[in-house]
Amino acid sequence: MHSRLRWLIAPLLLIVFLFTACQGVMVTPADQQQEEVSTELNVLCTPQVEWCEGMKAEFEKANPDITVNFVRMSSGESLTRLRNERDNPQFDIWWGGPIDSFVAAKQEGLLEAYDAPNMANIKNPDLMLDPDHYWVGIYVGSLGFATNEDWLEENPGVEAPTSWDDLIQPEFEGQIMVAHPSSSGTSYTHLCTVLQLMGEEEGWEYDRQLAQNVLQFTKSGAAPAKFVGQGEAAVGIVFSHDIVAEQEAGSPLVLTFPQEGTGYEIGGMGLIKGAEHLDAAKKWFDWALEPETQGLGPKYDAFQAPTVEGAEASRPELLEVNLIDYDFLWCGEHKKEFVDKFTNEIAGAENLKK
Amino acid sequence: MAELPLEYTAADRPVPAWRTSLRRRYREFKLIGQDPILSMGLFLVGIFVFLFVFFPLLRVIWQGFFDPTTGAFSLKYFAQYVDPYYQAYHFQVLRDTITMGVMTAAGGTILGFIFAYTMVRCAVPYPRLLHYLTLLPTISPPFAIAIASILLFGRSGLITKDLLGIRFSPGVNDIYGLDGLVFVQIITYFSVAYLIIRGMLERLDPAMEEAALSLGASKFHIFHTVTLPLLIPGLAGAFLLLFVEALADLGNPLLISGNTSVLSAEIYLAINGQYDQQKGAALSLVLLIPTLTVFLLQRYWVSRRSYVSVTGKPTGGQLTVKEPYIRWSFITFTTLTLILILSLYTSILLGSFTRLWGIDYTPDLSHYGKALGRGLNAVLSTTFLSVIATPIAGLIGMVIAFLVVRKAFSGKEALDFTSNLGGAVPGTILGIGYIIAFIKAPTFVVGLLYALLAGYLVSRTVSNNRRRILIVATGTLIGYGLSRLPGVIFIDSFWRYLLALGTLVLAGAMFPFVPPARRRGAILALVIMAGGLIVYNLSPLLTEPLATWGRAMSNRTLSRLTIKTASAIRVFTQPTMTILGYTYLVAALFVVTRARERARAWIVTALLALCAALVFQGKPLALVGTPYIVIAAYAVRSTSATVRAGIAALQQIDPAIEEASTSLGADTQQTFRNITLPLILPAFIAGLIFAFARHMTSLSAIIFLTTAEWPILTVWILSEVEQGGMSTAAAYSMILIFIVLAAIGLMYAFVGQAFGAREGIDLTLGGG
Repeated sequence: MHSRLRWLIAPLLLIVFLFTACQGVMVTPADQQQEEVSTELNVLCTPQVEWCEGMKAEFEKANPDITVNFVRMSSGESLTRLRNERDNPQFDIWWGGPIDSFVAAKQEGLLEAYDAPNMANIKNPDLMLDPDHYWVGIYVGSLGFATNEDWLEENPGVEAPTSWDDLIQPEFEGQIMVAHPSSSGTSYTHLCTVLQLMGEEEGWEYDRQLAQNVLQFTKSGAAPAKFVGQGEAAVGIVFSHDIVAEQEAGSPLVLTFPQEGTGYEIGGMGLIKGAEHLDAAKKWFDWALEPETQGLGPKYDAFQAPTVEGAEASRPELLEVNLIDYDFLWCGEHKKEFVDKFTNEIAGAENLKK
Repeated sequence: MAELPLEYTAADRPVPAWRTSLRRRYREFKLIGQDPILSMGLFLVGIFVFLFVFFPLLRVIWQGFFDPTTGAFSLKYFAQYVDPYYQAYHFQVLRDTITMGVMTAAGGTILGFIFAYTMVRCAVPYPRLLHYLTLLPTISPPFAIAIASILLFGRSGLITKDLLGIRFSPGVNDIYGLDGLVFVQIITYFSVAYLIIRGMLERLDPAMEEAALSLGASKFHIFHTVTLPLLIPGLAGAFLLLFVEALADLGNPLLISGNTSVLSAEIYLAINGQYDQQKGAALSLVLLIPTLTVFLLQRYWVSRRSYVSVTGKPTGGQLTVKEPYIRWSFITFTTLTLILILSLYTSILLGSFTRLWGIDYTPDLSHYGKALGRGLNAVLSTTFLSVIATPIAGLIGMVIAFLVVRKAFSGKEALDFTSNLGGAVPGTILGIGYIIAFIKAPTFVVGLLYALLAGYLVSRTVSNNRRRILIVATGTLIGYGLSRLPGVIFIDSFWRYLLALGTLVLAGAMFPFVPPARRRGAILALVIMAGGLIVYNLSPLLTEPLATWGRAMSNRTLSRLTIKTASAIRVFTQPTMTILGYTYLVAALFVVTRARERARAWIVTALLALCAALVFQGKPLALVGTPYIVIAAYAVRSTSATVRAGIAALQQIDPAIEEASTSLGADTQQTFRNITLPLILPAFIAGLIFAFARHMTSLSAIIFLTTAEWPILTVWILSEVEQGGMSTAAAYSMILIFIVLAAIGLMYAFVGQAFGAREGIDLTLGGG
């Protein structure tokens, strides 16, 4: 008994020592940490990598104390990442990608609301701003068709498609490229455009026929422009600004739009809930809504139209086409259902080119 | 395992069988426990394998049966295999996966055999050069061949379009699809089969064939009645291994499979596209079944059927094929295939220097500008993390190999098996497992490991069972209380200063209770432990100015390099508290055993308090997002290679040499350091090289784990294919190949003699 008592004294002394030691700092409140200014910012970037890189450089120029790390991920991947990391967020801000993903992220509580002063600049707040300020639109772009010029030359008699129906004609068998809607926001915009334009039943039937002409469903939405430019396929269904970017890079592409009307995307931006560098993320948020920042796009081969007053679209003609009345809410709500249906009935159908 | 109650029963009472067996096992561990370094090694390796192989795999399998949002048991995705609506698609994917695996394995084994036969039996000119060319696919990124095949044989490929003038109208077969995928997979993995079969062929005793020859059998008759049967285990082993590798690969299917889908890609899409952990996990289990079956077959059936004995005795010279038509047809075939492989790699090289492949072939350096501009962080991060993981994989491999070959204890087979499993299961599955297991703190596992280590510590240092329990309880409670303090009343760094101070106080208090002869080691260990905590706190004083300085630089390359250096330093100085805690717990054993018996109780209690405080601080082992999880994933993927390298090397050393050293009075450590280590060093180095190459090229396990701060090169290449185009991806691939080659050159320069050890080891690398 005696010996046991003796060795119990030691840990007790240790506790007493530690607790007396901490008296001194008990008053050191946690708010000392709060005032720390972040020197890093982790950006989840969904547009093309050149633009991500350019924005990183521009932001670092404007804020020399902050290092920006970014990862480019397609919008489906990004949403997955944010869901996975809900309890342990690795990113501070999500920049770019269609807003239906942001609508979903908001619903799932992955975003942090922020009343940015620059939100007053938004051109069309009904469409481009979340009423609760969880996300904001940063660019607009329309869907188009990219056709390889050389391929058109080699196949006289075939015209670049100007209607959705052209795409399901036999001359394009195995020549069309579009991304898979599960990973790509571009492709989901396409899927939802077709369903809105033709109605659900007819739209799915159309997609079934289109799938027979598809060479490969890519992972990233802009990839078909790249592959068509290289001649791996004849026609790609891509956002028109990505097609323009490929043209600028020297690819022989023709840009056309479907006359029945085409869908469009609004690219969003939102703060991540629980972000480690929230102060730096807010700086980026404010900065991204400035007209000068939005005017930087073309410098980095990004031809999306800006969403704030005072910034001019570099290619206004991309939006001066027949645009459908795209219902972002409807598309956002049905995303899982449509993507599942697509995966099981369209992408997995036996009739695809092997 | 160590805290099993050990009641000594009266000798006359019959002892139940299970109890004797338990006691035997306990004694085995006790025997290992007498050697502190060895037992520490066993513990650390055991923790590593459990945490990063066994536990994540278990979590994946578990997740397949439970709905992640509600937690309810559900067979949703398994039921889809019998639901007519989904059935067709699921079975088609399964069919395509198995077809791809079987065809790749068959094609790769045949090709590997032809290569091996040519190299060993056909007196080929320039054997060493051809040998290294054959190994090229093992050190290049897993999808390099896919990129090259698209560049050469794609729809606008150099050969298909520009040389042959093929136009891909409907109905013309192109490189995309199952056939293209099988072609790419064969080229990627056949060198694995080549290595295995070559090793077998070289060890084949020519006496049998000579005997048959002198009895008058024809060459062909000998080949299919003597040579081939002797080679069957090697061929079967190669076939099965290739099957596993092909099923596990993710990069090639993502790039070239067209509209065919295989399971690994489906899993990837389920997780990264549809965000469906349960689906991903369920599909993982479906993929795990054939993989595991084949893995077990290869391990326990084929390898036991080997007729080739490694005696170490030199066999008579190799037989060579005399008939010129056989010899030259083998040589021609091999050479032509090598030319194909070379042209594939050349196309990557050329592609990386071409402005716009397929359209504009002007030479252009801009792709390297991109790769070393925006990709520089990825290049640096990947190289750094791969380098860090290399010695870890090497050490773990050596310890496991040593334990497996030289020691007898229960669980040995399990340890060996699990460590091999880490490299054999499809990386996608492991990656998902890491996300599921380490996104939140796995409290149960953290506690379990702590309890095991703490139990072992007291059982080795304190004698009475009741005292043991009391000590663990007190120490853990104090420690747990301490671990909850930061963030509530302390700032983190002050909390660590306190712990460091406590450790130093302990060192002072211990002073009189340690015999002078052992004092230095014990005190030094405690000071180092305290130092670790202080360095953690002080390192921002170095890294922050360094990063600020880097940010201010005008040269962007230098700037990135400096910032990366700062975060690389942090990887060492600011490790995850939990890992630090476990390490300290193992080190505590070293400290306590040095103290006198009567003082041990309070020393152990204090040390347990320190370690528990570290282990349970914050969100223990919520590793996703940290570089440590990437390092762990790398090490797990390559440990199987280093284990096999170690086992092969150790088996060739006669234990008699070590026994002689021991009987002359050396302890295990001395024997290992002075006798064993020098003998196995070449194999060790070879294992390190392969481990590094495997780290740099691994994709599937890592793809879910990259972060903005630590981007991974292979993941970037995959995204560049779709974003920046083939040429940029080719530039990245060339940089990666160059880094791996440079590392190999560097290691060989240091250890020139490692050459000889390399060929005898069947190492399976490449994608994964």
